[in-house]
Amino acid sequence: MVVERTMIAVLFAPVPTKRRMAVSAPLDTTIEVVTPENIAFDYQLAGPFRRLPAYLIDVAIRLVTFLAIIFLVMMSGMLAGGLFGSGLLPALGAAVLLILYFLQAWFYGVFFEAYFNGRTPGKWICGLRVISDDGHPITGMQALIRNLLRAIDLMPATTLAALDPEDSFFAMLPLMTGMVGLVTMLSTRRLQRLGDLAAGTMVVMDERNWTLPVARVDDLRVPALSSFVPADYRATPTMAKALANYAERRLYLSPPRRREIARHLAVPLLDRFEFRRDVDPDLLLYAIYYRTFLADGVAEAPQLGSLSGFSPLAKDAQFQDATAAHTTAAAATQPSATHTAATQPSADHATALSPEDRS
Amino acid sequence: MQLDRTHVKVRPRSLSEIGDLALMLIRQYPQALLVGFFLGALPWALCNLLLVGWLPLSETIENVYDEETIEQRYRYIWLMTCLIYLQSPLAGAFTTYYIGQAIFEERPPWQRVFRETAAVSLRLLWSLGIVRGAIPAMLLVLSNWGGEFALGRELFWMFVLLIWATAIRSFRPFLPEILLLERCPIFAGGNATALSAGRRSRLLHNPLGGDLFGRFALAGSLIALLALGLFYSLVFTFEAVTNTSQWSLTVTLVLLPLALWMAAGFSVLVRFLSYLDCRIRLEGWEVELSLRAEAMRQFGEESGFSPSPATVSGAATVSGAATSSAADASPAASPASAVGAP
Repeated sequence: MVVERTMIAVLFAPVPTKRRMAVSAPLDTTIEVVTPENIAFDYQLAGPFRRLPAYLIDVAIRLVTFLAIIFLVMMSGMLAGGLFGSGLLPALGAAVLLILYFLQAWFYGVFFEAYFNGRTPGKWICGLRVISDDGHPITGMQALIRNLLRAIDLMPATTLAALDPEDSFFAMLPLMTGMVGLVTMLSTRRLQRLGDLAAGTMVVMDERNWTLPVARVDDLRVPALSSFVPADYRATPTMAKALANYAERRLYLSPPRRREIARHLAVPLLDRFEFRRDVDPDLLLYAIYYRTFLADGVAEAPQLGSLSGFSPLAKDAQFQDATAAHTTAAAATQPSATHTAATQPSADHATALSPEDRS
Repeated sequence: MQLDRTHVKVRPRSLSEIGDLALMLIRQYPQALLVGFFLGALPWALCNLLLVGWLPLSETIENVYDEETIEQRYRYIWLMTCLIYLQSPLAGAFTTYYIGQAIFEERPPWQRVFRETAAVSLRLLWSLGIVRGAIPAMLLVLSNWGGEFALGRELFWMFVLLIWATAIRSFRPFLPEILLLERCPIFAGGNATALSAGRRSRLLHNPLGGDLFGRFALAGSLIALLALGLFYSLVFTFEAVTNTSQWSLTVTLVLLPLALWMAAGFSVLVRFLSYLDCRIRLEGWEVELSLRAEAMRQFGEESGFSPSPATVSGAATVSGAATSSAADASPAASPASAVGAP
């Protein structure tokens, strides 16, 4: 009795705040699994809504297959009846159909999951896979257990005959609600149904590539600007991650939105680097990204073309503005404007890295 | 507060993943539904009981089982389903605000949730209650209270209201989040920098119009299936417990609305997560959070909430992206501004 009371007290004791905070990782459908070999994998879990299309595809495949079997059995029966007479053939055909239906209904999933590394055709199409709790491929026994228990996960099955007892429509409309499986998935961290819990399995997305792709930098202004970032500046790990996210997603955002997002970090960085205030925030973050991830891998200095004389530093701005003014005045006196732009690029430099230059 | 350390991982998701994540949200924040949605739905559920509850009650009092009993049963189910469908965005106001805050702080206090929701209650009543058909539908039902089945009012006009509400909700699904979390006013008035809910709604929804409609249709079908499954399960459990297979008053007055409200509560979570996904895809919200957080780490708390220049807002309007005006309208340096401020 004393032991029981102690157990109850332990079970209902309030969880210490520290422990509660420690386990409150961001809520996500991703889970980390550490294998017995001490290798960690990140898996994206598949819950009921991701599994439903795969299940419906499997049901459709089973239905089509069974209709094909019925057709084949009937054709075989007709042929055999013509050859050997029709005595026991209808009963034999019905028996064959029942056995095949039984095998298909109960062992379709077992067969495919056991022999095709945790994938039925539906799961394969939807990119899902069943794996063990510890990250290993599932065994035949696990496939058997989880598929046999599916019948319970789909419970309760009922009709609404009571709504209108005289109407046979409701009596003939049974629904496998799947509430047992849904409630079990709701209660488990790994979104496991009863069959998964019994077999020690979980369903995950069959994805292989989880690393962020390195963005390719085509803009000449990026290496140009990155060369002015102070040599002692090193991006912190969190900064590097933020920059990588930004570089990956910026292509999907409109240029004004890029600048709006980037300026949160770019404006104080402009001050730190003592850059001009009109440098494009988007370009600055992209330049730091280039400097952090790509610059070391580039053996040659970038070809800067007309940007070779430009400096984003605030202390050079006064000189450049004066040069730009001089060039403008000179262009007004010279007959060929194109010649001026080609030989004296300073006029373009003033706005080369400013937001207005971006299209 | 570190904006990039959210309690829900912020990244783009598919609709099926959003459904799965909504289930995890229920497990993580059961009080969002048990307290927030219950309190939000209670007044509407009581109103519905008063409006259409007389139908099964009168049949039970008459105690005659005939064809009219079945007709009244179908009439009750139709009206109750329509009313709950139209009222669900309003009923989910507390839940929406609570979950919006729970992304940044683990357990937002309920007093603040009620206070902040009450502050925009008139906007909610106008936009979600009147414009989106919930209150007109209740008036329609009220106009025939105690009467015989009215084909025009209870079927035709109710159907028109349903189509109207579905059309608006499928193309403008995130208005509750715009009103509650972004705190956009209905009318901008003379303030040039303020962003009205209608304009913000256009900026957020227009670029994703077709995608939003497809998602709404798919999510709606799944939630309808869920409601049916819940109702079947509740009836099954009730029949198993009471050892009866009669369609009783409990089934009609309790189990049917309960199943519908449960599905409606789930739909509020799915809609909120879809809203986050929409902002991530369209506005790079997760990138903005990570850059703001990095700015706060490197340059102090103020840097993460620096307002954007007015010129950017104007340019963003052209591009279809969000503007910074909503950030100005919301309280600065608060979790609400982080959720709400585009």
